[in-house]
Amino acid sequence: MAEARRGPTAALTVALACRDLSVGYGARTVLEGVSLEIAAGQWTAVVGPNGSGKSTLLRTLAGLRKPNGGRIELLGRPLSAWPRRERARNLAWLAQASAATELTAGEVVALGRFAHSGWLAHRKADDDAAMHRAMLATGSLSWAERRLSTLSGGERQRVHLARVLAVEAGVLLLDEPTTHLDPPHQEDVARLLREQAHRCGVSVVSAIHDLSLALTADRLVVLGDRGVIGHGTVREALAGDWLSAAFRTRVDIVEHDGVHLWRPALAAPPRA
Amino acid sequence: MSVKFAALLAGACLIGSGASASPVVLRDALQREVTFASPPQRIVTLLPSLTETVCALGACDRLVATDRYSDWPPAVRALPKAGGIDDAQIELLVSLKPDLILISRSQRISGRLDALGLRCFALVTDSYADIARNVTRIGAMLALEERAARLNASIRDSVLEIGAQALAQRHGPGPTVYFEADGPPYAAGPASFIGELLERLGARNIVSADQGPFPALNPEYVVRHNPDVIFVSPAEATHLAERPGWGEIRAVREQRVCSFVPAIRDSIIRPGPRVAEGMRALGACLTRVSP
Amino acid sequence: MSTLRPALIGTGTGTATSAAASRRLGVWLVCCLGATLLFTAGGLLIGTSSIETSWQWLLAPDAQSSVVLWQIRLPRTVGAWFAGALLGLAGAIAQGVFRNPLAEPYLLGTASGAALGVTICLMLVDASIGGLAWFDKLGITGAACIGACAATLLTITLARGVLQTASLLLSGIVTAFLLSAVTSLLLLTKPEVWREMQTFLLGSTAFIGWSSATLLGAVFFLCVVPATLLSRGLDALSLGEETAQSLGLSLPWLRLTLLGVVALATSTSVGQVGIVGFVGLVAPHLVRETLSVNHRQLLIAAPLCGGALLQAADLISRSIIRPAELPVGAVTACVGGSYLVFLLWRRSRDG
Repeated sequence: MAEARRGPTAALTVALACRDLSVGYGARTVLEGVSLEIAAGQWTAVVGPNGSGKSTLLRTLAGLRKPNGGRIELLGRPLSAWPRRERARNLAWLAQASAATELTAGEVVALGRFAHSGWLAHRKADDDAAMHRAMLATGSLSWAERRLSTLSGGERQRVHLARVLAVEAGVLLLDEPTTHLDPPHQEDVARLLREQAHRCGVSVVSAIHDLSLALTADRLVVLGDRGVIGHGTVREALAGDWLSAAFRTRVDIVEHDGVHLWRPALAAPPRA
Repeated sequence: MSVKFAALLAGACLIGSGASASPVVLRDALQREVTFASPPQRIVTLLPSLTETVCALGACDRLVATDRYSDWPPAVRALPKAGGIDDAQIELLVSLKPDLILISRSQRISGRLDALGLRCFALVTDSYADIARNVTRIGAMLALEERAARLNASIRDSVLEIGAQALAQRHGPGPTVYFEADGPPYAAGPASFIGELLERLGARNIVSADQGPFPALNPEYVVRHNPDVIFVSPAEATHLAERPGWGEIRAVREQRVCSFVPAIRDSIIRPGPRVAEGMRALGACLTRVSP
Repeated sequence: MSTLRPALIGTGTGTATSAAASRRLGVWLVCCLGATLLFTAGGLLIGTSSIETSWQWLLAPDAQSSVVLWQIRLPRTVGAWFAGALLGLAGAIAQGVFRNPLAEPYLLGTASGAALGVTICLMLVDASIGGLAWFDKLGITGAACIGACAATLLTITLARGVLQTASLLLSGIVTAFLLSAVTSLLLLTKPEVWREMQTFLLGSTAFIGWSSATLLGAVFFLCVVPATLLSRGLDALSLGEETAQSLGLSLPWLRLTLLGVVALATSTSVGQVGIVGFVGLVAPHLVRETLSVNHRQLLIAAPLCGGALLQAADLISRSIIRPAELPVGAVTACVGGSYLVFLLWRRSRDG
């Protein structure tokens, strides 16, 4: 029932691109020489071991962290050239952990329309429609009046996801969108992201640590020690055994009914 | 014959008393018994009114140091300053080797001075009656009893005279007054030293005795009691009409406001031997501006 | 599109919870306004005269009692309300900007700055240094206000701008300590000033007249309007700083403007009534404990609560030791302190 999405991402093939990106915290460099192209209308999963810089990469791509070097381009324009509100309308970001808040779920989702409706919160029909769609898609409609502190971790996560969807941006950067969610809801989210990408033309980038879920995406960006080990389709990733290189252990991927699954390697000890 | 014998006896007694004066034992304000075997010769005073008392008794030359606020008589300004009410410089005190340190009851250093072997004597300096009492006791300590008695008499006489003058110059009941002490909203009540002086001058304080010496009044109280004369500090005197409702007070409307420069103010605030001067200044202004 | 209309999210036809929440807010607002009216009436009747006498004055006014009622008591109680409202507003904004329920208006060092300003003013008053007549005209009120603003500027400068909340908090503490130390040093040289300083430090509503009350009222409306306009930004901020940024918010501008409002509100209040503690902390806290509100509602409810609180404290301060008075800051400290003790007890009881 979702209608066709805004034009720009459908017209371009590359939604978000970075060249020679290097990011660090003080003296410590987390990412170096990263060059990526996020395909439009596709779901890209960013995977890698802990500390490899998944969150940092997403933050930097979202413009929340200043990189030490390199360039970022959103929809063909340099990120720094975008006016703040316009960028917020075209690029939405979901944090890994959300702060506790006293707002109701409905108010939180309404904040997603901030870039559209501004300070006075004068909501127009399409604001309400976007919010409704987002909450319907994430199954959070019935909690609209409940305070976030009264919801469970998973329910809160879905409300935040609804907020991000309500922005109706062409590019979504989601940091661990499936945290706290039980498997059925994880699957729901995965399906939702795929739908957003394929049917609505949204470019979705999500950092996911669950390999099986990540492998259901269209493309993978595999991060290693200092940079990108490889980025491309899932098939290319598996063929190039990027995951093993990233995780430095034997990563067992099996295919079952067309779905790739990560199997815990209990038989052999991990390589040092 | 008996006259000669009497004169001899008297002479012997005099010589005897001079030769072996019995030690003076006094109880100070902290309930300690302090013994003076001989009159102290190196005195430190840590309160301005005590400085003034010692000097008024003619023993200024025995002072070796005072507190930083003592400034009368002018001679004491050259003396070393040993700090303020609460921060006396103990090291300086010890180095001067005084044999008597006069403090007020509210100062807390008596314990430390005792521990260091310095003799200190605490006095109460709150009311008019304390002035005479302190003069007598300090006179006793310094073996200057006659001078003390004379000083007390002269103070008493001056005060009575000024009071009588004020009474004579007045027609009918005295003016109602409001004395502001230390900034708004604190008023000096009849139980305070200033209040006593005002009462002696025949003024009627709008504050009643049961409210304590320095009550923090609701400003409305002053407006309601509409005093004839107001005493405030010079800085506040120009702003009285700005206080809400005070423009209606008789004293403010008719400019019956007295204020004193710090030098004179000190003689009113500090119960000391210059009380008569202070009272004179009070009385002069009162007479001048009273209706 | 009409089929997609949710008819849920605050558009009016709410579910049971939404109606209950707005009803509770409505009840709360009515209670606050009712309390304000009650305290204002009390402010007219309570003072150095008994209530019956004051009532007689209302019915049969004469020159002097009119002065007492309308020139002294009414502006005092109205001014107290506005001062409390300013503190409540400043506290609510501070708690939102710093995302800390224990934040209060004096966080940026405004209290110490005001105290220093007043000390300097009092010390210069007796001095015969020429050319300081303008300072005398400024008075304690102006000096306190300027001191408070200067302290805020110092805090923001030390924190190198408003970018980091943590460094703002820290530099606020540093400023407070620094300025108190300077104040104490100055007081040492002229301790006669101490008694007047104490009156200021403990807070006093005793001399609020119509000019003060009008000033407080004007500043209150000047502050509450931009604050409520920016309240959505505070909502966004409550989701986290990075999230707020990603939503299109300019954090530096938001913080600068809101902290400017806090500084203005606090320094005006401090200039007129001295340092009154706890109102800025307790008022927004109380609102949040009893209601669930977003920031727009909080920035309206907290001032209403703060105003009523300070009015009540003013009434207590004038009536307990009639005709003398307690400093109003001492009363708010007692009441506010008790409230915090109650919160602690309740928290430990709930585990």
